[in-house]
Formats: sequence, structure tokens, C-alpha cells
Amino acid sequence: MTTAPLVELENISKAFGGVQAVDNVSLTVSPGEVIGLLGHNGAGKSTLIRILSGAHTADSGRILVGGTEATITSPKDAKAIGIETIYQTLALADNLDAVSNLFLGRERRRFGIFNDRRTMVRETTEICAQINPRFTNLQTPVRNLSGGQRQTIAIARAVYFNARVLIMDEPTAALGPGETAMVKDLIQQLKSKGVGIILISHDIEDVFDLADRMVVMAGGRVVGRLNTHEATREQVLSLIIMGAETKPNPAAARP
Amino acid sequence: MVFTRTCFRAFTFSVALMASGLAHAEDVRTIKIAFSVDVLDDTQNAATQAMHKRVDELNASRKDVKIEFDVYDAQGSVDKQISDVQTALIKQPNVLIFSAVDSVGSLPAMQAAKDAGVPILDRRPTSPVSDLTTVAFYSSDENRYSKATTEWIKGYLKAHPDSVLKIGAIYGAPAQTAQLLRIDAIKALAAEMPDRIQFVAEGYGNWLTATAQNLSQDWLLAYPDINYIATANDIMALGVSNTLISAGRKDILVSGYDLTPDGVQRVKDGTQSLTIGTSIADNGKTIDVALGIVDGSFKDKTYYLDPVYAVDAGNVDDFLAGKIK
Amino acid sequence: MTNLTGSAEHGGIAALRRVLLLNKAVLFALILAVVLSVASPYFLLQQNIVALLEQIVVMTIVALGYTLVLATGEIDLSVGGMIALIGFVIAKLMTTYGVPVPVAIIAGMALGAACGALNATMVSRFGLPSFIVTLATGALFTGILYILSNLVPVSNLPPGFLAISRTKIGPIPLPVILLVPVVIGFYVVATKTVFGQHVIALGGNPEAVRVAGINITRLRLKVFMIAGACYAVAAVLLTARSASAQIGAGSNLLLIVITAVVIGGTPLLGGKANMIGTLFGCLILGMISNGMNLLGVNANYQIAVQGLLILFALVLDIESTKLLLRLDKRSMLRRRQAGAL
Repeated sequence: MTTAPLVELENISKAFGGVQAVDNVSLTVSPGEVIGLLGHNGAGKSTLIRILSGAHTADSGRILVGGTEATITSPKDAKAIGIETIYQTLALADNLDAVSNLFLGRERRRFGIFNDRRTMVRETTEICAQINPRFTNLQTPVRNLSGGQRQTIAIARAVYFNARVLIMDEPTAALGPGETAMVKDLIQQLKSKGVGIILISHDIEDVFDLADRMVVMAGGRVVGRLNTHEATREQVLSLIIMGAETKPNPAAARP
Repeated sequence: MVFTRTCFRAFTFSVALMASGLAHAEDVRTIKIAFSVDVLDDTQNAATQAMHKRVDELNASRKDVKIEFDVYDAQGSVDKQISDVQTALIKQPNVLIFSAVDSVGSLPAMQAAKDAGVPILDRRPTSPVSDLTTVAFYSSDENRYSKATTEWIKGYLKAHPDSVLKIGAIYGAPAQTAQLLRIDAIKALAAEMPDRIQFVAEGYGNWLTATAQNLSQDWLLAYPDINYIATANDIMALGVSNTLISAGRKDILVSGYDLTPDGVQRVKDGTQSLTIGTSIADNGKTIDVALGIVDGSFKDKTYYLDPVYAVDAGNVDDFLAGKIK
Repeated sequence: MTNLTGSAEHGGIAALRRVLLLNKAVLFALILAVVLSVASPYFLLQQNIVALLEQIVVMTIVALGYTLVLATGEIDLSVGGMIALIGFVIAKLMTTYGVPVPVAIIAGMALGAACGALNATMVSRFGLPSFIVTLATGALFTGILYILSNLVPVSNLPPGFLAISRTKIGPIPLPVILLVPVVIGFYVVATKTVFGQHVIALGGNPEAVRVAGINITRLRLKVFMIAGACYAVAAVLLTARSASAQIGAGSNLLLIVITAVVIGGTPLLGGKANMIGTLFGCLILGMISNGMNLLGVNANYQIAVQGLLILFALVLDIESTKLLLRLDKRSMLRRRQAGAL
């Protein structure tokens, strides 16, 4: 891989009260690369991605986007430089429809203050047709939709706004087998378009299926970096559980 | 020797001076009056102002007493009133003027004063008057208000032998039963002379101008023959008077209570027919009664604030000029 | 083919049911109007209709602003205190300080917006529930009113100010005419603007709004300031109608307004802003009071009826929301089955 990284996190630290949630963590994402971010609850994964998505600000360290330093202090900043996040909760307003959710905070406007509803409906229809042709209930409140349909909206949001880096937090946790397959397929599509993806999942099989590299966190630190094709499940599990490998394999780790 | 004598004289003189100073200090008696008021609303506030004014007058005119007057506003809370009285008692007042938030709920406050040996001037006496009360002070005596109302109506009917009163009655808030007497007296009169007085409608105005205004607006339509709207206070009478102005009706009588400055002004302007009440300015007399309790000169168990005025077009100018006493 | 038309017809009935449930206030108002016009010969008189509309103007203007507040999932208990305070300040400015009528009105609206900004800031800055904040600020506003006014109402207002409520265009009083653009304005804001969309989203899921990069603090500030300005307009109309600034003015509005908004289909927990529903909710409350007065219903019964109505509105709110959800689920299921076929 000679392509320059899309995003580089350098020596990021963040403490809450006395707890060091993220401790000197570095991470790079290149175009078309899927990084599996693994670790227990409380390992620091969520805090790390919240820093990248602008929900938290780091105490120290820096974020480089396309080689230049970026200041991300709010979700808006992150979105502006092409970092989209799909939260585990999906962050959808249940009382609004797919169209409104897709454009929430980035509405198409007329005369500066009015919703350009017609354009938004048209564009939502187009983008959803690409992603999940069977999803057509674009104008009913999303609380009535299935998990896969809701996930479609969240992904459509990232695709529509040309995400360069997509953070996905447990994208398959609430889905049935058919819907999981669909989401996996979508991730492959995005990858082939050159989007860099950070995938957080408890399901180690999903990560082995999708990720090019794996980064394992424990206690706020990175305890292992592995190339998927060289890694074994035992290796990864012991990193997650013990915070160390039973059989060290330094050859697999990349800086 | 001369020196010693002078010294001695100077000494005795100064002792005498000191003694006379002491005697003078003893002559001026400090009387502490505490007033626990249920809520400082429009009327209670005006009454309190009148008491303050009377205190200032007395402090200026009487050299033998110095009155300290403290007001505690319970803000409509029984609980706060009990605390207020506890606080007041710490200052060991000579007399407590008390206006209960609730006749039953506020009993512990009165009991505390009684236990502390502080006499109670009760500005909102219950019926029958509580044993804890030293003097029951009636500033707005419902019975005498009722009497003044019926007297005025009788006078009106005598002066207008052909007229039959068709009355719409607007009460205050449903929970306050005492004020219902004001209108009940008219009802009793209606029972006596059914051919001259008839009730056509009744409603609650909740002491609000806007509510009384809506109610009377509806009545003008529903009861086209209504010719007298009796309200339980001047604030609601204002609502009725607004309705009549915008409907262009001048043939309908409006009455209210409390003798508020606005109410009296409307009587003068001809947009309200009658307001009944004691003059708020007369409430300064509370202080005189309180002093009478302290020095033992007031021995009755009850005091009625005098007089009850019925101000209408016929006497409003005299009233405003202060000629009616 | 036959199957298709059958399901379309079915969909038509379901859609109608949806429309009725979403606009239950309109339906309820119509039924009430029919009942009252049969029961009382006075109800349909032009004079009564005008009086009825005149009586609901103040309530409706407050309720429209309040709908925005409820839609975001917040509540405002300071409305009564704010209205009385603003009414007093406007009246005092005109009488004691000789401030021209339009200037006094604008000052009142600025004061309303400022009071709203205080509420919003306390909620946003300290993360306090609006319930607590506005309970406290309501007491604060009332307290300031008591201090400033010494509990003495202000009368002798300038004729130019009283003309606001006394001017009629044809048979219709000016405030009623003023209500029309205000209702339309709020309807447009709630349904057609990006701001309205954000308000509703905030009531649905604040977290979604936050991660969407929308500044919630500013959004909430706008909502409370608009509501405050509405209360100020209501205070102007109420003061003009009462021909004086009364200390107790507006103290009865809180419960009435919440009832009207909820009957109108804006849920207590937010996530929806039905402005037309709010208008009809106010109309319903106005008709009930007006109707009972016309019918000569005993005053004590009127209070009980109002209590029952509030309970009914709350139950209707919960039940119709559930029913709507069920209907949506069912139609969703049908679509999914149809999709599978």
C-alpha cells in the first residue's frame, strides 16, 4: 500500500476525572481500508471514535487528515472534512422519516430558511435505491422501520455526504442474518469506492470477514496490531481478554 | 477644697443627668408589633401600607412609645406562615397581628403565639372565633357587606318602582366560601321579593378580570334581559364593565366590592354602578387596636372596621373628597 | 389486479383513519360545534361567534408559542408570571413614563424574549430540567412584578393602546384578525422550515440532533425566545382587553394552554408540533366554556367538566398515539409482505 493515509491519529489521550480512557493511542486509516477496532467494553474504543467524530475533544495528541492537521471540536467539524459516524444507536430521530433523518442538520434549503423537501425526497430515493433497493418506505417515521432499514438510512447518510472515513459502531449488533449480510455487502461496496472504514464490533467473525487490519485496545491503550490474513482467532481473543498475546507475534504488528 | 466641692457638684450633676437620661429612656416604651399576613396581594398590601403609615404617625406624635412593626408574608403557604410566626416570636413581640392562610392549617402558628404569651389580633377570624384569638378584627365583615348590599338594592328598587332586577352573579374562587355570602344576601332578598329580583345566571370569575369579561360577554347573549351583574370584587367588576363598554350597553348595573381606587374611579366615570367596602386607608386602625391590647385599654373581643361604604354615582364625589366619614 | 385495488381501498380507509387521528382536534371541534348549535339558539349567532373568537385569541397566541416548547420536549411553567410581568411593564411604560404605544409593545416583546432566553440558558447551561427552571423563573417573574407594582394594577391606559382591542374591522375585532397571520406563520415555521424540522427532531431524539452537528443550545434559545415573544403579544392583547394591567393576569393560562396544545395533537413529550391542532384545541376549550355559559350550566359543574376534559385529552393523546403506531405497523407489515411477493 503506497497510498497516503486518509486519517492519522497521533498519540491521542483523553481522561475523564481520574480515569485515563484513552492513553497515547495512534491509528491510521488509508483509502479503501477497513480497520477492525476491538476490545472490551471500557477498553477506550468508543472514546477514541468519539474524539475522531467530534463528540469529545482529546486532551493531547493530534489528528491529521490527508496529511495536514485538523481541528475537530464538534460533530459538524468532523462531517465537514468527510468523517461520518454511524453510532450503534444509529442516532436517528424516531419521529421523523428517512428523508428528514438523512438530511438532519444538512437540509437542502430554499430561500435560506425553508426545507427543500422535494429535492430531499428525490435524492433520498436515489441514494437508497443504490444501497438497498427494497427499502422504499422513505416517508414514514423511522420508528416503524426494521433494523436493516434503519441501518440503511445511517449508511445512506454517510454515502450521500461523500464520507472519506466512515466510523461504524457495532453495525450488525441489532440485525438478523439477512440484514447482516446486506450491511457486510455495503461495507465491501464502500471499501471498493476508496472509503476508509473503522469498524467496531464485538463479533470477531464479522471483523475477520471484513477488516484488513485489526487494532486491539485494552485499558485505553493499543495492545495489539494485526494483519487479518496473518492473525488467528486465539491470538485476537487473548489480546482482548488478557491485554497480551499468549504467544507473542511481533512480525504481524505494524507501527 | 473649692476644687473638691466643684468636683463633687460636677459629679452629682452628672449623676443627676444620667439618672434623668435613664428615666427618659424608661418613659419611651418600645412596643413590638408582628404582622403575619397570609399573602401580600393587592388588598392586603394596601392594608399593610395603611398600617405602616399609622405606625409612622404614632411614632411621630407619641413621645412615650416607639413602635416597631414587622411584616411577615406567608405567600399563601401554611407552612411558611408557621415558620414566620416562629421567627417573629424569637423577637418577643408584644402583640401578633395574624391573618391566617388557612383557618385550620394555621392553628399551630396561633398556638405557638399563645404558648409564648403573645396576644393575637386576628384579622381573618374564623366563625366561631378561635379560643386562641385575643381580639377578632373584621376589616371586611361579610355580614355587614351583605347588609350594605341589600340596603343599596332596596334603595335602588324604591327609586325605580317599575324595574325588576334580572341578576347575573359572578363569584370569586369556588373554594373560598366566605365571599359567597355577598351574593347569597341578594338571593335571600330575591326570595323576599321574587317579583322585583330574579337570578338568571351564576358563575365563577376566579377573581380574574379576563375570566369575568368572557363570562359576562356570553351572558349578554344568553340572557338578553339581564340588567344587573353583581361581582364579588372590583377586579372582576372591571371585566364586566369592559364587556359593557365594548357592547355599548349602559343599561346594566355592575357592582363590585373592596372599594379599590380603580373601582371608585369607575363609579365616578359611570362604568360601574356600585362598590362596597371599608376604606383600605382605615386599616391603620389595626395598629390602634393592637396598642390597645398591649396597654390594656382595648377590652372587647371583637372589632369591626368602620365604616362600610357603599359608593355609587350619588356619593362618589363626596367620597373622593373625603367628605363621607 | 383485483387484489391491488382491494388493498388500495383498504389503504384509503387506513389513510382516512390516520388523518382523523392526527387531526382529532378538528373532528372534536366540529362535533362540539354541531352539538352546541343544536343545544343553544345563541351559539351560531354572528355576535357569539365573534365573541368566542375574541375570547380565545390570547390563549391561542400563547398556545402557538407553547407548541414549539412542548415539541422540543420541554415545558414552560413560567408563562403566567411572565405574562403578568410583561403586561405590567408595558402599561407602566405607557402611563408613568409616557413611552409611545408601539415602542412600549416592542419593549414588552423584547422583555418576553429576554425572559425566554433566561429559561433556555438555565436549561442549556446547567443541564437542569425545564420543569424546575421555569417553576423557579415563574416565581421570580411574579416576585419582580410584586416588587415593581406593589400589587397595584395599572389603569388609565392611553386610548391608542386600548384601540388594539376595541378596533373592529366590519364586525370582527382587530385581535381576531391579527390571529390569522400568526397562526399561518406558526404553521409554516413548524412544517416548512429547517428550524421547525430541527425543533421536532430535538423532541424526538436530542442525541441524534447533537451528533447531526446542530447547535442544541442555540436551537433551544430560539424556541424559548419565540415563546417569550408570543407571551408578550398575549400580554399586550390581554392588557388592552382588560383595559388595565392586572396583577393576576394570565395566572389561569398555564393549565388551559397545555390542555389545548395536547388536545391539538402535540404530545407532552414532544417530537411533534401540530399548530392547526393547537388552534382547534383552543377553539374547543373556548367553545366548552362559551357553550356552558350559554346553556346556563351550573358553575360548579363547569369546573368538573373542565377537569374531565383535561383527563380525556391526556388519555386521548396516549391512546391515539398507540393506535397510530399500530396502524403504521400494520401497513408496514402489509408493504413488507407485498414487497416479499
